[in-house]
Amino acid sequence: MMQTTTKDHIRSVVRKEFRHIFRDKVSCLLLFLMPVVILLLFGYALSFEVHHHNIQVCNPGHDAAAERLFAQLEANPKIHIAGRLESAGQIAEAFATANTRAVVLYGNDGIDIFLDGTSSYFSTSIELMLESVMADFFARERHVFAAQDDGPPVRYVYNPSLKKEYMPIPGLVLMIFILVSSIVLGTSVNKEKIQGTYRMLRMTRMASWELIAGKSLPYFLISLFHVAVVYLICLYFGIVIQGSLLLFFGLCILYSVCCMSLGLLIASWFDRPLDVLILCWIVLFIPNVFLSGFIFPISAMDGPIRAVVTYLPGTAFISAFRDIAYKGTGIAENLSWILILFSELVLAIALSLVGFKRRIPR
Amino acid sequence: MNLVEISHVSKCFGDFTAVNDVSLTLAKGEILGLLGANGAGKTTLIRMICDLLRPDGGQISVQGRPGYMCQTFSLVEELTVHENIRFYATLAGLDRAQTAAREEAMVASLELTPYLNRQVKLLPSGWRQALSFSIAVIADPPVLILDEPTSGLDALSRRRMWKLIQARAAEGTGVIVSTHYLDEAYYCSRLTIMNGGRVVASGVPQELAATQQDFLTYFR
Repeated sequence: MMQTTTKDHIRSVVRKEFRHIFRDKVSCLLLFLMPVVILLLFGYALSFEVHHHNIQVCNPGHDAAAERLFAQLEANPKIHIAGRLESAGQIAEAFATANTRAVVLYGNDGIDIFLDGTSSYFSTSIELMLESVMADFFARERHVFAAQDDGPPVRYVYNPSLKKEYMPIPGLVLMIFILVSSIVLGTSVNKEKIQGTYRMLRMTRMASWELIAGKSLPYFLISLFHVAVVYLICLYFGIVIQGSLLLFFGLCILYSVCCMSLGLLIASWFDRPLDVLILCWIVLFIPNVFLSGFIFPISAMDGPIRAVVTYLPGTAFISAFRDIAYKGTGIAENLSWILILFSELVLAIALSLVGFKRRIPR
Repeated sequence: MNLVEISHVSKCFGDFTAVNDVSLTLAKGEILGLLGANGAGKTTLIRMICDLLRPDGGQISVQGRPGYMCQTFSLVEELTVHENIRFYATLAGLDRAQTAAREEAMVASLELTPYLNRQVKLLPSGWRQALSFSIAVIADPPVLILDEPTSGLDALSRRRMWKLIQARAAEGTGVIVSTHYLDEAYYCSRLTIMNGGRVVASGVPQELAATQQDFLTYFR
């Protein structure tokens, strides 16, 4: 009788494991695609270094020294003067409607810097940049700007005391929604497919949409509960929702439903709960958390990546959340974000219905 | 008038032909057994009858909405017996009074009273299958389709399940039941033997067995 050795045993297991890996799509995805994605994300796409600052300037007195300062700012490759304001009264509107992160005002009392206080890393970055350029300028024009030796005063719009609690809240809500609405719902639907209860339910008088609505509603309500908790946390930390509460909750509801539809989409096309779980993390959680502007500023990303991440549901949600909750903007200013979320929701539902019908025709 | 009429139905998955030109009928009160080894095409045929799969060719006509019992246990495991009955009764279109009456009758006939408030995942497999059967017939369907209802059950539970099936057929329900247990063929009023997706023999079980001495001959 042939005797097998330890070497044979290990070789058999190794061979079996390789076959297992290469025949399982999700294992291949995790082992080969995921490292590439992480490498691209952290090595190329994600950075805290903002390459491009959009600022506006205001020189109501048409002062010649101020124009020289603005020319000096514009000469810096990382600063772009996107517009000029006629008066200081337009500053609030510039922050609310234009993609403005800073305004340099040269008024009767000297220079003032206004920054968007809703995003601390961005504010710090642009503040350092402006102060560095201005320090050079003041040194050269000491005869004019003697009084500005300590640097111009900085004022934060929307979050004047620069409370750190402002920063994580949109991202926190984003993560809760992806977790509850996408991942848990997706794996729950998939579990029903595997167990056969989905097939049993389809044999009843129930229509497809009734089944999907019935499955989704509890997760939606749980998401709303979490939104209410986040709202109470905001109140506890003294963060007042500046915009319409109706619009704020409407945005949260739209994003929650959008996340659900994305979870259903993945659940409809994949058959194993583990696959659904892994794909939800790879396709939904990681991109939406890292690329939405919650942790890394979008303006620090390169052009093509920036163009793509604009259409991520997380980007639309974070941007609209900050604008509505912190800046007090209305539906018109956030229409593009709302349309992105709505169109992705419709597309995901349509594709998930195709996915479910692929398995069960009725 | 037949409750189910299947005419030249086929179904392929890629290059694999799961069901090949199958025709059969089911009359009122009849128990039609689909006998075949694993992979013979029984489950695919059943899913097409239930409209859970679309046939590639042929015609299927079923009277009313059939009651269906899956091959795998498919009730909601986290719910109790009582909650499962209520849940499926509502989806089957029964009102509260009807549900209560059916539940009472069902619990009495299955002797489920001690388990009523127990999660179904904690029930013994025989009871779980009996409950699945009762839920499949909760809306009193004219046709009952059972996909290997006795799979994995002990001899006693299998006998009990067949008693339930026969009682249902005696009330006039047409039953299509798939099995791979040869001895269960004798419980059926008519038998269709499937092999490799095709119907290889059809008739009364005793006559089919007598013709070839043993059902196994049909699978060679």
